[in-house]
Amino acid sequence: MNKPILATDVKASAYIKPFLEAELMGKIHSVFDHGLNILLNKQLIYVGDSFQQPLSSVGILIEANVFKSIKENLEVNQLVKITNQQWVFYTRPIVGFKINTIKYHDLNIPKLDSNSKHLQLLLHRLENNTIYEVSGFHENQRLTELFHKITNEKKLERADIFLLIGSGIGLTPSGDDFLQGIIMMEQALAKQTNYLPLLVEELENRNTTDISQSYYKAVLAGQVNEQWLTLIQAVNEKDEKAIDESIQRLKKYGHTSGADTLLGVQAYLNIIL
Amino acid sequence: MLHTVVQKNNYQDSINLMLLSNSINELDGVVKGQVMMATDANKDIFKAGGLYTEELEAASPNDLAIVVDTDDEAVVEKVVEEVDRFLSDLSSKKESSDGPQAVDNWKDALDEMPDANLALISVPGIYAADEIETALDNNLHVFSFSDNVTVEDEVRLKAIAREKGLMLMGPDCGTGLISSIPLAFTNVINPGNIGVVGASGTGIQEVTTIIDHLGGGVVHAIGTGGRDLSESVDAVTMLDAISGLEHHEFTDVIVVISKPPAEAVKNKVIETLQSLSKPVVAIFLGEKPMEHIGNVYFAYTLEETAQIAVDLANGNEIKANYYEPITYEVEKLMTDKTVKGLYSGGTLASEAATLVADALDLGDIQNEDGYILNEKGFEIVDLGDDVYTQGRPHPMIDPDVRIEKIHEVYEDETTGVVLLDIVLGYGAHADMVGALEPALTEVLNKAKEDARDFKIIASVVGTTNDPQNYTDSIKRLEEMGVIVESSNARAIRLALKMMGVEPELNNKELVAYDKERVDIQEPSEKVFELLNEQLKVINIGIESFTEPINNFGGEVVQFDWRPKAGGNQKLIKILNAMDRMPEIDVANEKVVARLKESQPHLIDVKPAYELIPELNTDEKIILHAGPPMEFENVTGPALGAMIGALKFEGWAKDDEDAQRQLENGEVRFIPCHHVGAVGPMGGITTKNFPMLAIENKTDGTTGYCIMNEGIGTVLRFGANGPDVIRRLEWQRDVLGPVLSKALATFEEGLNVNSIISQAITMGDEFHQRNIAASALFLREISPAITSLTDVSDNEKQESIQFLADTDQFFLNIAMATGKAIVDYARKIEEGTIITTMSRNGYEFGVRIAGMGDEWFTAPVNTPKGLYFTGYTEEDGNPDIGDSAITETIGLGGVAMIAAPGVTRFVGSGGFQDALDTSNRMEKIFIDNNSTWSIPTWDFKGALIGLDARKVVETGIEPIINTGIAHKKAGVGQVGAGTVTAPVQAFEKALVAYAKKLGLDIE
Repeated sequence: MNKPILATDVKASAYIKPFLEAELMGKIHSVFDHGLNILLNKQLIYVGDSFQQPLSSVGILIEANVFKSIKENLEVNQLVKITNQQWVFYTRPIVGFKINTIKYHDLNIPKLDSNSKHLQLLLHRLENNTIYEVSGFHENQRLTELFHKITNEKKLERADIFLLIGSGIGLTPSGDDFLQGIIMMEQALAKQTNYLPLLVEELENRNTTDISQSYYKAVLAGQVNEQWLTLIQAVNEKDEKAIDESIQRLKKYGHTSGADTLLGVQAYLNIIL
Repeated sequence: MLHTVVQKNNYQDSINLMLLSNSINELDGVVKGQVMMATDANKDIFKAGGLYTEELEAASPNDLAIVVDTDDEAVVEKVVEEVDRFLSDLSSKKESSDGPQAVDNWKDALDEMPDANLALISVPGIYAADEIETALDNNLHVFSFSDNVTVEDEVRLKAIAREKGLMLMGPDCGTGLISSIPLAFTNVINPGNIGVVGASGTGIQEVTTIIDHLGGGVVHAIGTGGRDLSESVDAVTMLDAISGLEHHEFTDVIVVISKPPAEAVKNKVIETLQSLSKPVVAIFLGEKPMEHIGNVYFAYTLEETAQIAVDLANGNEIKANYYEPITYEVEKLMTDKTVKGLYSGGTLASEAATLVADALDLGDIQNEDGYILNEKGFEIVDLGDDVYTQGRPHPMIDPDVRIEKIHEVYEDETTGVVLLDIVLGYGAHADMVGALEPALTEVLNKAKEDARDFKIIASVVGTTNDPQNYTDSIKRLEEMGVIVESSNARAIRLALKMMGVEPELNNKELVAYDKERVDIQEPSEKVFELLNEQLKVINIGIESFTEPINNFGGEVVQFDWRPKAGGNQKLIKILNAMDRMPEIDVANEKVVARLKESQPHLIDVKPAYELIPELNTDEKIILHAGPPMEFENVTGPALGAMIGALKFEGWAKDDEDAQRQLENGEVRFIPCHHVGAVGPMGGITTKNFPMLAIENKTDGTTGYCIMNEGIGTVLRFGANGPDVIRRLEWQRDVLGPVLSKALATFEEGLNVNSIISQAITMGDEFHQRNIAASALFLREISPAITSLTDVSDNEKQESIQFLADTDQFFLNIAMATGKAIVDYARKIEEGTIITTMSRNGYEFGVRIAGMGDEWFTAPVNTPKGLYFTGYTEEDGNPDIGDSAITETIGLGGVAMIAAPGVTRFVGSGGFQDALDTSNRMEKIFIDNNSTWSIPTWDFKGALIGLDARKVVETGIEPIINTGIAHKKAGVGQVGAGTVTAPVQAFEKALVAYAKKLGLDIE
């Protein structure tokens, strides 16, 4: 049976617009309770199950009932045909959605006020929010040692980057999230450091998951999850309460993904302050 | 020495029996053996195998025949044990599975799934055309796995299908996917935007599995059957399928697979393909295309077909050449050796033959005796060809033929390379690699020991989602030393490389199409629905075909098929023709309405001559049970009763005198049924017998029957001693008049329906058990008897005492009731409802509404049951009596579930047997009579409307509860049991009615 194609509004990251308009066949990469990943011509696209979720730099959000209907018979490796009018999921039965309206959102990393007071405030709030304890580093001796080494020595070396890439558990290993936090901060602060080229080079030497690869690509292109935009804005406004709220939300993102990235932010601040 | 065991009416699926035959041939002491249904075609196979016997000759198509060649009797027992074990294993698997609902006829299948859209048919070929037609009549698309349908039938059925907007996939359609749900012998393919139409089973399997490996997916794969592109069939299915895919929103690319079609058909197909809005990849196996044209990309190999399709499906540019070099390093060329291809897939064999013949310039490929190619020692064999599969399973299921061939080709010293296909997927062997392993390992080891250049190259047709383990299959083959290539084409190319030939594919440019285009018709609404809506399948035949449908989101009803009418082609034709005559159903409903609306009342008891004018004469007339009979055929019980009757009437002074008069023709015989009466057992009735008179108040129709005499030594069972005669005289002089007077006190007589409806809830079925009804009758009649003023107390007491002592008294009331009911219904002389079933001791006679008074007879069966001490089945007389009138109106054995207590008495096992009996009987009746509701049957009404068509179609013979008389005159009752009505009588009735209706039945 081919279920009736439902219709939905779509909120999408402007970063992936070219992929969404190219009429491509993709494959289901992974399926979660509230989202799924599609591999589309080597680019990962995250589909979130409601507009309540923060928009990912490589993602779209659709209406919850539409997501539910799609997910019902979905299996990894099944095919998806994406056009700018509709998405067809080749499941048994075929399901899909037509796009009512699509709104692209710019998720470029905003500039962060490099005033050290702002940055101190952020570091202070991060330290107060016990990020490390809920991160994927906490249970991982090698990552813990690396974290302490980086924060103690106040520098990130090429060898550290090599070791961090793909290190840890999950679809986005903790080391990758950590590095993405660092790269995000470097870009937000307009290159006080120069880790980005090192990371680009080391990514050639070391493998990580498809999902992490996609998020690296996005952050290297200056794109981050919507929640980081909120955090940076709160820091720029020195709104302590908003910073805390933002950190709390980020801590809950993914299994340890948000905390790992926050830990990268914290480490970066340690290095530069 | 040949031993035959025939298991009557034990229908089993042919694939199971082939596997079972393999299993019994492995038993120690069995020279050879075969287990098959005893159809004519299978009898030929027995004959060809030197296993033909007289017992087999006599067996019917519904019988399971086991023939074993062995010198040891004990081995036969072992074989039968193995057969029972194997079949009970299957049935226990069936019982324990959470599989689909199973039915055994079309009506139940359609009731179970009224919105079914596809019939998947896998019945033996000779029956397939009829089942296909029935499916089409019921507006179902058909996927016919069955083969051996004549081309004339295929043309005719496809015309019917097209007329009705339906699609007939097949016959001989081995594989398919509808909405990515696997059907029949099929791999599990990832769903996707490619649609396939193919006239080749393994061709579809090879292309779709490679599509899956390449990351593509298939939404529909529609098999057309191998002859669809022949001139006579004219690509009906292919063109309909193409139109369906063209209009299927989610199909982006269409793949067409076929052997080279007839030229005119090919042009038509190409014109169509060139007129589509979607790109097409086409392969005509055996043709080497030089270019792509217009909308159609032409492929040379099945692998290339899949590669182009996936590129099109992904929106990629099509390469001019999909040639990828064979990377296997050939250490030593085998230019003086040959290639032997041992294929289970016909299309894969054809592909091998084509590629080998093209590369080595061996001329055209043949197709003779299973060889697709047999030139200069290069042999490509299709082991699925009829030559190899007569009476044995297909090589995708059974490895034996291939194992033999592997050894055989190894013995041929010219053999350098053996090519194999291992086909996985639903339907295929659960572990073909494991099954072939001993043979493969043995020849590879021998080659090593002999230092011989010998390689085995295989390709595995399968996906990682197939029920067999695809990856593990490849790994195990490689561990054995078999070289595994990723496609059949690559396996063949490697074989050729070993022969020193590396053919390259020519580049193909895309050139414009400059010929005619045609308008693509919209698909019919039904084809559109099939391709777009939930797949709902009635699976007729091989039960395992339900598994993938269930597993992948389809809905399915299992139809446990067995041949209609025992496989009798003439009867099948009649039944099918009658199925297409709704007026018969209308007539039957009219007859049944009459049976149901009847209002039988017991109104009187009178001497027979007062009720039956034919007896009101000085002529010596005897009424008897059953259809008309000749005196020379009279059996013991009837003869004994006749002698008794002659003595009772005072017409004969003793037994000898009576016998003489009977033999001299001084007595005329009339069947009870011809004079509005019925009689138990011998049914012997003469003018002074007191008879119960029933009036059907609906229109005044009457029915008469003599009174019950009790059990044991009684006239109706043939006893005729002085006590018997005395009892009859007492009934004539006392009981009859007393009951007559008592009944006269009721304004309208006694309402029999009321007694039956109460007693049926109290454990009576009114043939073998009447105790409740007799008691209820006694309850009604006793006050009336006691109120009589002109009857002596003694007579009252005797009468009441007799009724109280006679458990079966009501049986005769029920019989007269049955007669009054059926004679009212018989006034409608239309349709196939049975209006009479009766036996005269040597013939069983039936009458159907549509044939009025005409009898149809067959030799009567002997009852089975329990015998009184001192007697055995040897003593039992063949079935006799009009009492089957109770079964005719849905009581007696038919209503066994109402009287579970009876089942043990008649030799059955208990409640479940009673339930099974009535449930089985339900399949041959058309309705239930709510007036007679049976609590033990969940308050379902007793059955009503026994349909001769259903009896003939199912072969289910109505069951009759009966007493058993001694075969010698004068002895009486010796037991009780059950007997079945012979189906042959119903068959004759049906044939006669078909003639009356003017049906062409020859």
